Amino acid sequence: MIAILCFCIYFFVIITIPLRVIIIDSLIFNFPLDVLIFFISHIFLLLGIHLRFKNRYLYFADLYDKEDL
Amino acid sequence: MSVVNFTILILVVYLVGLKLVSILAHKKSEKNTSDYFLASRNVGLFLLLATTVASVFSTATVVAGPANFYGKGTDYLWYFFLVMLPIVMMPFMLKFYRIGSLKRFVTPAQMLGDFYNSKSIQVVAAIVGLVSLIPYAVAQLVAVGKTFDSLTAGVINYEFGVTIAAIGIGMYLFFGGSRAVIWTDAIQGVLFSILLVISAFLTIKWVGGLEVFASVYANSPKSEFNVSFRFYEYLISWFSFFFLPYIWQRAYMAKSAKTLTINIALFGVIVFVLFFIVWIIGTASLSIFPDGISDVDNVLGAIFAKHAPYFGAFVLVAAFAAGMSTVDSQLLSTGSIISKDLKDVFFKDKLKISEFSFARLVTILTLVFIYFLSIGLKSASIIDLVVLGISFCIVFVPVVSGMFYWKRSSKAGALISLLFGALSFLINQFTDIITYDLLSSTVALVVSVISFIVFSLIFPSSTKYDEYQKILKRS
Repeated sequence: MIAILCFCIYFFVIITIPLRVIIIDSLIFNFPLDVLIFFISHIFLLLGIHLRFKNRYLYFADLYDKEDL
Repeated sequence: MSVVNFTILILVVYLVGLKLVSILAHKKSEKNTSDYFLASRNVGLFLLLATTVASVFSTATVVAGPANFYGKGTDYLWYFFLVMLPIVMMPFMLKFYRIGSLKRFVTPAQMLGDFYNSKSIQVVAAIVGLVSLIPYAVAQLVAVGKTFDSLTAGVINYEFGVTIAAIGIGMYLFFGGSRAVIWTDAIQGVLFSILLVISAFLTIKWVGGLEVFASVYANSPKSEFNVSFRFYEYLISWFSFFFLPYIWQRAYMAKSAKTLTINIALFGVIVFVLFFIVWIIGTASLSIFPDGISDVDNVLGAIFAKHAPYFGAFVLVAAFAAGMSTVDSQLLSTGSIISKDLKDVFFKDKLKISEFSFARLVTILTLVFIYFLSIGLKSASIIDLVVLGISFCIVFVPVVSGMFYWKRSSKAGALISLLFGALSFLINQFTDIITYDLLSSTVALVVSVISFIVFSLIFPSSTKYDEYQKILKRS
């Protein structure tokens, strides 16, 4: 569930970029806010990938490896 | 020693090194097509990760990446959409591995032909795979040629640069096959990753530090997020990436399912880090060349020609390594498609040479074909060729998804979906018949999905859905 939540945060950030461009038309830390948010959203993406890998696909991988092909 | 001579010396040393690796690989190789194309399906984690990253990170990243962040700015952040690929790559690639290992498939089209019980689907899928690989492979040689020309100030001109790259690849491809490709990919991947990191630090230093970097970027119009519908189209079109035959075949090569899964999870992290570095180099160029340069594809070469000409020799090697490590895998994949999927259709039993010799011959002939195309496409945009190659594979999305997730998928639906999808892509790409300003991949995706669903429902047929689900332990 946490993995799915992380993916949702990432896609929400990506999809709402035009919305934020309209609402927040200012710069912070002397750097474009959108670019910062864009990069930070990748932390959620990578965390989601890690959790999905650990909780789901590693199980199938182990299952497949146990069986001699 | 002049800069040009130093550059040539470094390249000669590098090519000799690659040749030595290919000799070692040749000694370990077995003379069969499974070993030649898939390294006997026994590639461990480090080598698999290195070859996946080296194959994905082409000159489109090392050369065209900085160029596009420099020339077009923040709009090109869509490059980073590749980082999310593991979300879909993991479930699909794991399935490719499981079924591919059990049924001893070498090419993607073999799996599709087997599932839908159709030789026609295998042939059409093979042709789609070939068409997608060729522009992508040409882009690599074009980029290597351009970088040679830029960093040696024309002493090694474009044509000569492309020739050197083609001969270098041919040397190790002919003898070592996939084992040589994987070993050299590992060396080349590590090499260009290190050189990219060093290059990023150097460019930040030349700009005047992080503060100046941030300030120049913030005040540049290129930092503005001018998001259009195109931005979202790229989000979708990246999904076709792992349907490229040479990426798909990485799943067949893995030593175990666990190796493959860890490889994909780590792949996301490495892609993010390397793209971030490429973004820094491209963005820093905004303050190094505030007035622009004549050919933006040469920006990487121009930075080093200006600030550190001798180190530029190593950057050329990095671009060379990125290009070679991608194009060699693509050539090998092309050779496997022709010898496994298309040979019987066009030659039947007329050929008197062994399958192994045929595979090697075809791979080298493909290299010659791509070489001549690259010479003729000197002025082509690298990124356009790459996007063309990747996005054409979008037509695989419904057909492959149907194999695992839709019981009612049928042979007619798959065949018509592939044909209509490919046709609509080519019409949108090369004619003005479709007047909407959409990416060809978007048009092809919509057409292929609709035709797959409609024709599967109208013309049902038996597939191996239940057998595949059983193999995958999903039922």
